[in-house]
Amino acid sequence: MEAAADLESSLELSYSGAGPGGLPPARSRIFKIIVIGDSNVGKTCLTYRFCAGRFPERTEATIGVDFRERAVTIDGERIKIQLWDTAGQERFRKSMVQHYYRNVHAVVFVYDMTNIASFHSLPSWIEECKQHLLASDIPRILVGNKCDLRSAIQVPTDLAQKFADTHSMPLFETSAKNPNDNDHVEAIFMTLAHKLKSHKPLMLSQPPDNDKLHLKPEPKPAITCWC
Amino acid sequence: MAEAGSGGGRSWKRHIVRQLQLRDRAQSGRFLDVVQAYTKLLEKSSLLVHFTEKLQAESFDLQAPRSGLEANGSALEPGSGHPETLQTLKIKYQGQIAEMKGVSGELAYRIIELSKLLKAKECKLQEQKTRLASLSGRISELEAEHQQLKGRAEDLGSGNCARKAEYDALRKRYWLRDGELRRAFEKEHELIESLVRKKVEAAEHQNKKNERVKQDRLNRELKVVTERTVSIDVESDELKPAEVKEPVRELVELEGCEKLWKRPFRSASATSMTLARCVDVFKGLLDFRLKRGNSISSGSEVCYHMPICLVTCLPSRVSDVQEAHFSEVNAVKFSPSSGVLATGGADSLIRLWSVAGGRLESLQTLEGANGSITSIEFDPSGCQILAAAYNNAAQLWHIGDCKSKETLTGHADKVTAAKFRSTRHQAVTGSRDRTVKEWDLCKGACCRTINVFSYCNDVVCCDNVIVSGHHDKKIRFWDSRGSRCTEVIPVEGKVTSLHISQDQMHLLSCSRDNTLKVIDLKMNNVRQVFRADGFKCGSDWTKAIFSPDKNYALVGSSDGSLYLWNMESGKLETILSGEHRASVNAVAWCFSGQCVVSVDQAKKVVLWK
Repeated sequence: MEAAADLESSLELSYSGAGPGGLPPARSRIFKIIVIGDSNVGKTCLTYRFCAGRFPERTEATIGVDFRERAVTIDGERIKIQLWDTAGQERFRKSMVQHYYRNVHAVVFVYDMTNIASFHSLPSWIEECKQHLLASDIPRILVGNKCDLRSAIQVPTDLAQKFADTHSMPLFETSAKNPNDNDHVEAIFMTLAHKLKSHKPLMLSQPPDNDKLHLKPEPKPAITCWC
Repeated sequence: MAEAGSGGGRSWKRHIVRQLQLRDRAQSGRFLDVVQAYTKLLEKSSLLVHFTEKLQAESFDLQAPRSGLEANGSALEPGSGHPETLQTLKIKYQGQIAEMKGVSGELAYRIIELSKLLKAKECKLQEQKTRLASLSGRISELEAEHQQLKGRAEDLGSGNCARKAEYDALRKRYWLRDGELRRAFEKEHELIESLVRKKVEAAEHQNKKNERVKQDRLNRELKVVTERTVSIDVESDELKPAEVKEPVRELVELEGCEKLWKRPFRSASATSMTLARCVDVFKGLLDFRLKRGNSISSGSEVCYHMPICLVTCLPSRVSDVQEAHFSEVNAVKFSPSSGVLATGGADSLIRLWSVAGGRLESLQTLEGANGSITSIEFDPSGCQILAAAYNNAAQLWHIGDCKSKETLTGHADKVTAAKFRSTRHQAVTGSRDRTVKEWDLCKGACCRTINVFSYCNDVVCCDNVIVSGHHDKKIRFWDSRGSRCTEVIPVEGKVTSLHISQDQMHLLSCSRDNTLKVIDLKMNNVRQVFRADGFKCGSDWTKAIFSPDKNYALVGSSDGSLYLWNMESGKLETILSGEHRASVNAVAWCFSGQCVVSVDQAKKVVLWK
């Protein structure tokens, strides 16, 4: 116990020794969102659409993971949305699944509306997600892609909605290709970003500017003493 | 084959000719008798004709005399018998003549017949001859055809050969292409593998970056929060004690790092308590140190004392495993308080870990050394870290400050070891440039350079002696007051590490001959030698250590096992294996004696309890 105390004192010393302004300028918050789903459902296209604003000309199977970032401003705060466009093919992803889920802020499940198989494999994706995530309250959303191919749709909306409801996820049907849906794709991710921002502060909540902290006498759960 | 054919052709031709000749001979032979008989008959008939003419003439002659006779005869032949005899003779001859005539007629008929037959035979012969001619014509025809066919067969054969050659060439090409294809597949596979590996690294990197950003933000916010004076407006008095704690608790909860912030006042008193206790309990040991007395240390210098533990617990199970660095981990040390662990890797990063609760939690990463870290040491207060690196320099860090505080430059080659002296403001470094340097940390300058004749792999120092372990299989002792080498102890292999026990009585060396030696520092002789069957010193910088209570010696082997010897019995106490897959570079035993950490070449850090 003394040893621990000793350590704290030394570290405390060193922190105060760093002096004011010793820290680098604050970087904007990063939300890590992973996009998961079968191969060829359009994960790359969706993320590309959101981050580059257009449909990619030609895409190839993603190997491992591709990172796409976009900075957005939400309620006056600059936030970086870091999309992890993961590989759908097992052989391109097997060795890095744990990296996908490390410190992830939100999970986007994607299926192809014109391919019922991609919808049917969603439970296995959800299972994988469950296995790797420690926290259960990470926001998850379900996105049905390629809704512009109206004649080829195999997954009816009500079925998907039912599925989304049973897993308590919001469902979005969209198309990364249809230019009219650009706003829609954006809206989906922005909704997610808003949700993340309000979900939990992640950081300490700043006391209000008047430097007054109002402590409300509301009952709190029992706190284990940290001393 | 053509000759054989032609030979065959000739033979059957000859055969045909022979057959024909035979037949001819047989058939003509049969008639030869007839012809001969016929000629004989002819002769006979002509003879007979001759005879008959002769006889007729005779008979005329006879008649004439007879008439004459008759004329006379009536006189001469009184009997009637004489004319009768003539008569009978005449009849007889006439009969004979008639007979002859018949025979000759018959013969003539036969001749005619035979000649007819002969004609027929001739005809047949002719026919056969023409047939023979036609057959020989056919033979030549066939021969020509045969020749032609042979030519064609030859043509086809050569064509076949060409095809075969072509086929072989194609086959070869096929194999070649097939091989190429397979190689291409393999290459593709490899490329994908490496790409995936790269991506894994990128993902790790990204995660780490994210964490770093988060950390930075946290630090900043914490700073802001702590600098701000918060006046707490409590609405109800009786709840005050519980609620005041609230912000503090939140701070604590956020990250392991914030634990550093809690209870600043209490910890100070606890520290003094530790020191006081140490002084009391281990007075004897301290007295010993004082007796050995450092002449350099003056009253003004602060002498730090390590917390000393009496009993160490033997590590037996893995408590936590982390992948600590991007490349192999070379050095590991516990802070004197045992609560913080520092690891240094070939990726030139130093990482600090909290070891609370049997888990390794990343606290901080110190970047700035520009080379592979070879050694790390905490100063006795635990506030500073001294690291040696491949960029020919040693770096001094202040914990908490992410910038290298001091860089000790002056060595001309990789620095392999950097140690604090027991007096706070001095350090000693060993290098591959065959020198050991003493540094004044207040000035950040080198105050003495000792030429040590050989690559220095490790250096340790106690009060007034510096001990260096060398590539030339020697351990050398240097008096800190003079530049003379006071003692040389040869060992059987390159010395990879040195460690001084906390009571400064013994030195543990590890060498490439796979042995650990305990050297008595009073007598300067080898007291004990540890060997084990499976133990193999994995590198030139494998570090062996004493346990804090000096009851055990611990080292990691190239197969990833840890070997633990009992100092009292001199026997191998235990082998800890199964966790490391690569050669273990260094081990550290926390000063409280409860846990051991080992690091390996495969980026892994393992905490044993």
